[in-house]
Amino acid sequence: MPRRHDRIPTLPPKETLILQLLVREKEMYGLELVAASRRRLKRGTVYVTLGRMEKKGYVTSRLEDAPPSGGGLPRRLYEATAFGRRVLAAWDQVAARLVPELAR
Amino acid sequence: MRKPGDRLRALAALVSRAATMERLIDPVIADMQYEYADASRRGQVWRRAWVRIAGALAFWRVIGSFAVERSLDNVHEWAAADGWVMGRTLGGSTLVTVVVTFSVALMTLMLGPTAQFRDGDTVRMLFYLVPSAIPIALPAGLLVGIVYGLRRRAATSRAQRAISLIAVCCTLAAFAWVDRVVPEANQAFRVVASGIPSNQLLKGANELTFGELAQKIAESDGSSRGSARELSGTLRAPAGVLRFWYHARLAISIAPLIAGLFALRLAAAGRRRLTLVIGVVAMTIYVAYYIAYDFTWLIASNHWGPVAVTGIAWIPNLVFLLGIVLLKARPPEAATSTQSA
Repeated sequence: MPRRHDRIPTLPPKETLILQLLVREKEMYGLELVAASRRRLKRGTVYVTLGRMEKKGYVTSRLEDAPPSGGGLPRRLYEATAFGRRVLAAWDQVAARLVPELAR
Repeated sequence: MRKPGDRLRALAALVSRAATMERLIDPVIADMQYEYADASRRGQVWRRAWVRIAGALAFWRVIGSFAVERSLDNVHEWAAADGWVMGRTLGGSTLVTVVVTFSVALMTLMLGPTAQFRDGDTVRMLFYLVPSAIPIALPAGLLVGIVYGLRRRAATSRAQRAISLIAVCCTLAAFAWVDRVVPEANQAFRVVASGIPSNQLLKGANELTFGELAQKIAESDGSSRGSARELSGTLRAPAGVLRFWYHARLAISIAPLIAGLFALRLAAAGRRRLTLVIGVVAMTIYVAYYIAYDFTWLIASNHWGPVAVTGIAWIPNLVFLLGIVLLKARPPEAATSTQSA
């Protein structure tokens, strides 16, 4: 359940990176995010960050449809929410205005 | 058949809530099991072993990161409860304690016989005075911090319990600090000030632990003859001076609790602006009492008896206790707003 937004949303670097990756690809597993981040995200902390982002309402998650072939636990897929996309876009705009060199 | 990570998951399930399992633990275990199955399918024995190790490390990192984050959240929630009463109390207490600590240390340095000191050692002497100043500053910090924290706020029973617990913890910490750290710091100060090596310097009354002071008092009273050996390496001092240091340090150790209870009573008494003024005045008098007068000289020159000496050491605490009793007898103010203006 997203938290009520009673303050200006913040976007730390790791959350920015995750949102950028999720906006580029539609849905991703935690391990896919770690692999796509080129070691900037760690498998031991990515889920803590994703959990925090889910609380903030930046991402949403669901369990994968078909159970994995090995019979293990179903993996969790993450997707950026509309709010998360808006926050990222606003963040990029602010960054571009303040530090034009950072504009993507 | 057990899959990799099942044991870790069962372990985590013992201490974690369902939401934590669902959002943090299960995804890590699912990744481990997926990668393990993939490596098994491909016949990659080494990768399978690596997946187990990396998965277990990831699991413990998740647990550690979550524990830290959760603790910080809990501390934040605790500080923010009841209109930031605890945050304001702790912030105010810390600020006042730091300011008073350095003020007391500086004043002690400036009021002392500075002419004897070598110029280059001033910073070190100030450093060694700080440990003695902390126990004096702690009750002062709590007193002002609590009154400031509860200003324009309702002192809920939760806040009162938390503040009382903090005061008790401060008292226990002060007791250990005064017994162990202060004597060492005092002697280190005298070594720097006098330039005499510590092995040639006899310990003064304020450089002894509680146990050593009690032994010296017993020696001076002559009551320990035959029952305790004489404490070597210490200066001879009148029994009154030893008794004063013993009781002054006990009183200073207990002062955080008594000052804290006094501040709680004062804050509950109403008249918000007046309570803060009274708190600051009480703090100033309390600090001045312990640093402005040379009680050692006073006691030694007047040959006061044990009751008078003990009384001098406990006067600030007795005044605070009297204040608690008087404030308790006073009827509470009718209208107390719970929110800040």
